[in-house]
Formats: sequence, C-alpha cells, structure tokens
Amino acid sequence: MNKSLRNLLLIFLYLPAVITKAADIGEAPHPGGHHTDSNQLNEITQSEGSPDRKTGAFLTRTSQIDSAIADGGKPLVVDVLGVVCDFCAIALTKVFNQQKEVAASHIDLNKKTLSLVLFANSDLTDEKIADLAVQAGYRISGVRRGVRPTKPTS
Amino acid sequence: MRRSLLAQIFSIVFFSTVEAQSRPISYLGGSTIVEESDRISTSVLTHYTFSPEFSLGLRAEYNRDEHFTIQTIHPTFLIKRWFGDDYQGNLYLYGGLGVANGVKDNYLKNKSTIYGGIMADWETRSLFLSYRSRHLEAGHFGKTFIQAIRFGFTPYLGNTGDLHTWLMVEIDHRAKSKNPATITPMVRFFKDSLLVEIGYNLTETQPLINFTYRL
Repeated sequence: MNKSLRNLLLIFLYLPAVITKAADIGEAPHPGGHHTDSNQLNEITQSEGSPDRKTGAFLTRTSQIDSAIADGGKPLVVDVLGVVCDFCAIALTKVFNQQKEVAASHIDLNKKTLSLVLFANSDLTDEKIADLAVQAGYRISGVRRGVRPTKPTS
Repeated sequence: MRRSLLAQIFSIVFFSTVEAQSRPISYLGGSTIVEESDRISTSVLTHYTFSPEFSLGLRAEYNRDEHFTIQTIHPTFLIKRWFGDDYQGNLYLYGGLGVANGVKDNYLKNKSTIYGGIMADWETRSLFLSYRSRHLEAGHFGKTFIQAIRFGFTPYLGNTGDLHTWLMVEIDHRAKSKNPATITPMVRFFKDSLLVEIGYNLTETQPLINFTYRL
C-alpha cells in the first residue's frame, strides 16, 4: 500500500475518535442522554477514595438521569459483568427501560455499571434486577442502593 | 441406518457455517436484522430472541457464483457465555432447514437444504477473536464446509453512545474453492443499535459490506 493511501486510511480511521472526543469536550447538557462531565459533583459521585473496579460504581450522570432524580426518583447503581461492547450492552438499557419502575437508565462501559433511577413510588428488588440482566444476556455482581439524591442541575 | 443418520446430523450441526453475526441472540423479545456478504454469497437474516439462550429467524442467501438461493428457518442456541470483569466469551450452535432454488441460468430443481455450525468469540474492550464454521448440504446444489477466524482491535476506547471503530482481519477457508484460503481486512463501525462492516477480500478482490441493526 503506498504511503499516501496509508496516511489517508489512518486519517479516516482516527477521524471518528477525534470528532467524538471533541464533541464530548464542547458538549452542553442536552436531552440526548450522553454523559456529562459536570463540575457540580454531588454526594453520589464523590467518594472517600477514587472510584475503581472494586468499589466500582458511581452513578453516571446524564441529563435524563439528573432529570429523573430531580423529579424525586431513586438512583441506584448495578455492577455488571462482561460489559465490554456498547453494541451488545444496549440490550441492558432496552430491557430496563421497558420496566414501568424505571425512569432513566445508562450503561457506562468505563465503570462497567448500569445506572438506574426508579420512579419515586416504585422499587425493583435485587432479584428482579438480576433477572432483567439475565434477560439482556448479562450477569450482575452487585446492586448499590441508599444513595442520596443529587442536587438539581438547573 | 439410524446411527449413521444421527452421526451425520451431529456432524452437520457441530461443524458448519460462515455467519459473522454480532450478537446472534439478542435480549428477550428483541429482533435483529443482519445483512452479510462474502466472496461467494449475500444473505439477509432476521431473527427474534425467545430467550437469552435461543433465537429463531428466517434467512435468505444468494450464491452469486452458482446462482442459487437458499431460504431457511434459522435457529441459534447459546451454549455457553463466560463473564468476566473485563471480557466476555460466547459459544453458539446454529442451523438451518429449508429449500434451495436455482435462479438465472441455473435450472436445477428445488432441493431441501440443511446446514449447521459453530460460532465462538472472545472479546475485551479492545481485542476481539472469533471462529465460525458451517457445513451445508444442498442436494444437487452441492455441499460445502466453510470456516473462518477473525481477529480485531480498536484504536480507541469509546463509551456508551460513541461511534466505535474496530480494525479486523478475517481468514476464511473453503476447501473446494479455487482459492481455498483468503484474507479480508475490514473496518467495523457501530453506534447505538447499528453496526456496519466494510472490507475487501485481498485474495479474490471482492468487497465485503455487512450491517446489523438491533430493534
């Protein structure tokens, strides 16, 4: 392959990554559900130590997650095994979003978690959550509850 | 007689196919549309997932070299899935039962057709390895055994909702072909529910274009 063609191919392959990361940096909060890097970290996203795989899971904040919490929803975080591919993991959000108890959901591949917000007067047991994950083709290793609601972002 | 027939069915089910599907079984109640093309044929499959271990679909395939089509009912079974913090592995068995028809200048009569195969894959956030094979019995349209191995990596890690890009190379083997082994580099893109693969078979100078859409 000649040099020009190779360079063109490399540009073509890396351009999506550049565009994606540039979009993340300049992104303003919008209803699309993309994760937001906000300076206004709340008690859910702060921790006594850095989030790591073992203590894992902090709620991933998106505009939908924030909105559901602001409406009185109950946030919780599910640690999911084998979440290595976005195309496959989308099944989790599809399955959970079908549940009437779920106000918002988001998969975070970096944290290997599923962030959920349940409607204020609803609940899902750990067993039900595990079963729903199985329906999506996954297994969970834990459910974190009892997080306090965030401050409204608006 | 019965023992040899069972052995034949066993070998067909366990040694066959060239489907490169991503997630051949979706979530419970989910549907998927898959279009695939390789150096010999083009196919379309639509399948519905009845359980996390089983999907059933309808598949149509067109053999561009021999000018015949195959229409089948296409079940897929998840035999085993391995979960880790940073990896996932899958082993599937699948088959097909239907009819082959001659088209264009192929005037052979319709013939019942059966195929079966294995798909296996292992992947992390940045590496991918898969194997697949298929044995096809299509009466006077012929019988074939095909297998392929694919390796891929991603030049960057994307998160949920990003455009993901993977660079892959596939080596496939068809013993009865003029070129038994061929190599196909390709690029896989996916975002949300859509996956697209674009490649080029270097040995037979044929393009490859696949897509999968999860409903």
